[in-house]
Amino acid sequence: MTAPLLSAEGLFKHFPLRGGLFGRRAGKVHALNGIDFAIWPGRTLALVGESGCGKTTAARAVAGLIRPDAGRLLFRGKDVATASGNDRKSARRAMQMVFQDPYGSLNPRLNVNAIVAEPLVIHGIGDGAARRDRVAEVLAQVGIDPRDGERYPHEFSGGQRQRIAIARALAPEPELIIADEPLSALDVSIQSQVLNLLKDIQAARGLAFLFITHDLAVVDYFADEVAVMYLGHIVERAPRAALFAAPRHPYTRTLLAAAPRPGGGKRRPGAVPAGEVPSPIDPPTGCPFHPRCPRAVSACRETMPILSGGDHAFACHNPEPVP
Amino acid sequence: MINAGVAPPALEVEDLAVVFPTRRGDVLAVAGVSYAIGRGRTLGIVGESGSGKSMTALAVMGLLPAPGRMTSGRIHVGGDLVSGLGEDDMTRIRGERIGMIFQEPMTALNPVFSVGAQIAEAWSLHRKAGRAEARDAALALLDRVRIPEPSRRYDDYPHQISGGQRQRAMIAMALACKPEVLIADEPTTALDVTIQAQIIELLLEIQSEMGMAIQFISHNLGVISEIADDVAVMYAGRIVEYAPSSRLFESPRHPYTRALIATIPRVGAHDTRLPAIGGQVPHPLALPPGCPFSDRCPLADDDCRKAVPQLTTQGDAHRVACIKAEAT
Repeated sequence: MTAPLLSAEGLFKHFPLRGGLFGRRAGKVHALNGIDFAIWPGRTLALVGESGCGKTTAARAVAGLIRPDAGRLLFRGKDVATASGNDRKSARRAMQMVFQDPYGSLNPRLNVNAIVAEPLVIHGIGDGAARRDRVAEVLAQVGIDPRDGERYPHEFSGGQRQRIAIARALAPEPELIIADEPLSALDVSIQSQVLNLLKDIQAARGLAFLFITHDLAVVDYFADEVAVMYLGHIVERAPRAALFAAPRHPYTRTLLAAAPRPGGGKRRPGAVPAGEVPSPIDPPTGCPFHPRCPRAVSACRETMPILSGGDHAFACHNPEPVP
Repeated sequence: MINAGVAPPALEVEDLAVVFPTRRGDVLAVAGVSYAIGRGRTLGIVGESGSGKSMTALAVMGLLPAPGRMTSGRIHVGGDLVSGLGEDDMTRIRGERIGMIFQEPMTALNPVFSVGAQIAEAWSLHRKAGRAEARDAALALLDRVRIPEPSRRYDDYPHQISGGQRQRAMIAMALACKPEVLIADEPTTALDVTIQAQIIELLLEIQSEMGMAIQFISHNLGVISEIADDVAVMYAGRIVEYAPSSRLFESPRHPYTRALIATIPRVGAHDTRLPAIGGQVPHPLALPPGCPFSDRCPLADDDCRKAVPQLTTQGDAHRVACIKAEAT
């Protein structure tokens, strides 16, 4: 196999919580507890999990929006944090982000042309005429009429705004798109349009994706590799088909059982264990899933299982049997 | 159901229309909607934003936000006409006969009172009971909705408990009066998927115990499928298809329903292309002539643009508002 485009090694991020009279440290949010993953050129890694699992923090660390406390991000084998100025800039240009909320992520005071040209300006790509051509080209690619480039974000629907955000990400010819729940704010009939668009762009341009979502059906549709996260840990990581055919971590199985299936009939009782995701401020000892886990054994309360198993890796003392 | 032919439905809505005057003209948010829900049954109302599904619910509860108003329609709860009642009577109906839960529990919970106190108050509103009795009832309700350690949670304020537990507390409050009808507007949309599954399971369980009718509103066909007996699909203020849940998912007749079901990514569909619905939901002041879906519909022709198709029976309980439905 070729070398990964991007690899994350031991990413670690705790956010301090301040409280009390003088803003003392009142604890910390354990957002990322040392996670490893790799993204290959032209392929999609999905990070999937529920709120507080750390998937958005991981995306923001990859995008350079936050600095991890420990761990390394290697882009084409070079550490992004310690790379020379030029290497770092080209790595940043090669990784572009699409956010969940197309209402909050587009500057309302800029017209569409200026929004899409922004990364070109930031990275000093092309002159005025070349930028205008590039903007028109990517707008057409995402299905926005370039003649609408003088209009402002509020004149567009949510789905069109998300297309504009995708055009902005495509403008500097990235190699990796980091997409954080890019469908969640859209209507059902618009979600499939945007999902098809992302799949087309990937096929046409060989882009890699880091795709953040809570929706396993979208994961199965779009991803090549999947990492399931729970409370700042990757608990299972596998090629898509292997994960859906034989989920080994009880949490992955729980997520699959919880996903509503249209036309599947009424929900049957007992498919999902009771309890909620514990607070990342005060995570449980041992395996973070053990308080809810139907398969927990005594070791689970004491030691955190290590993610192991090669291509299909899982972190579990008592994994689900292979069906 | 015993005496199914005799007993009136728990909720019956006839020809409901809701109008919002705006500077650019009157928006017909709900354009003549009729349905009935029997005791112990759940009607799922599914639609995208602007379909009128939430306005239908707010109209039933007499809580339409200004300047919206009902321009036609009769609403019966257990056979009694409740539309057109004054504010005081409607408040009583909401406390005694219709319970409500929403997407955001903080809209129903008061941030300055403890969760337990609010449930106790809802319980004692229409009963002559002492404080101790109300407290016991609230504790039982907290336990019923599976909030762990009810006696410790009783004094917690809404912001001190998780989103899932707030949703449970709101359900407890809605159940305090043992309503005949529970209106649930996207109650699981803001929740994580495992908590969503728990809440749906809880609602199904409580319904089989208490026998209330549920009107469950969601944009998510998967969630609707998990809870509903019958499904109404709304588009641009109208019900465009109405059928028993299994029928609707197995053999949808309206082109919009068919597209909506086909368009959802499913586990196991990796190598297919999603059939997307082109265009977008039309603006309520710029509806196409005739059928409101005609500008996005692959089957539409000139006949579809002549008149709004009426919801008509397709056999037993399957109704479709589409003149092309036979052809599909």
